[in-house]
Amino acid sequence: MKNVEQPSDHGEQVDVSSATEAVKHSATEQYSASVEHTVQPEDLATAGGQLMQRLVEQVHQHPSLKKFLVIVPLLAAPQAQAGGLWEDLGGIVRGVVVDTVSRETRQTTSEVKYDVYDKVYKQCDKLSDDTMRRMCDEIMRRSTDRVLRSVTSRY
Amino acid sequence: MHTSLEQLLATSDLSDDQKELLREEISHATEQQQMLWYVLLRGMDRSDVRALCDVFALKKSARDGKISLTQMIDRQEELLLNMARKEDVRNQLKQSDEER
Repeated sequence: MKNVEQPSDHGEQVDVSSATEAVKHSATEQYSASVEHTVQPEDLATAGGQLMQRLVEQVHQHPSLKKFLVIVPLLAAPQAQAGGLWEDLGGIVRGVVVDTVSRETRQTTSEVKYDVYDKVYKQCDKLSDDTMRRMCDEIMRRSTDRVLRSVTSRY
Repeated sequence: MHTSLEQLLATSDLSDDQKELLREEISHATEQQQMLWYVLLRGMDRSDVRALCDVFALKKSARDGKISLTQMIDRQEELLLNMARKEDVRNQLKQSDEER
């Protein structure tokens, strides 16, 4: 993956007048860059991947970071999609939602037609906040290993 | 965006700016990603949802060219690390209480 770098701010020593000009020039350049530079979705996705790599490296020090790894497919969407990560996480979300809805509404898992989103949303709307919290925790728990594997191998 | 998700956002206790931010973010998401958003918004602690909003606000700032991608990553990392540190402390206190 490519690195996202900030322009260096280390400069040579110059006299005051040329330094002033340099600052003006630099400010103009930066302003132009901020106006004209368009950040591509791929750049944001790459940056999302870099963030995740940094977080993964610190998970052993801060175990609670794990729960935030579930946002990988949302922050790094195009890359997560291309790398098959989203496919797996989508499967995890689907599995947990279907299991929970079927248990709570006493349907079989095949009766919960996940692809009919309208129906699934309506069923979820009726679930208690406690149930939704457990569902969310379960998705985060199951996602962690998959995300850790992906980030370790990919980024 | 599905009406359930739209309604969830509309009735949440997030600020108008945060709602608008998430609405914009979610509008680009696939149906499966929207389902994840729905579960996160209903199941996460409010403080975590707000932290997520801040993370995505930084993404928007970078997208709009207001901050660099490096600044975005640094600030997102700092934000999430702070959240994790606080939660780790809470968990340790809880564990100590249970052991007593």
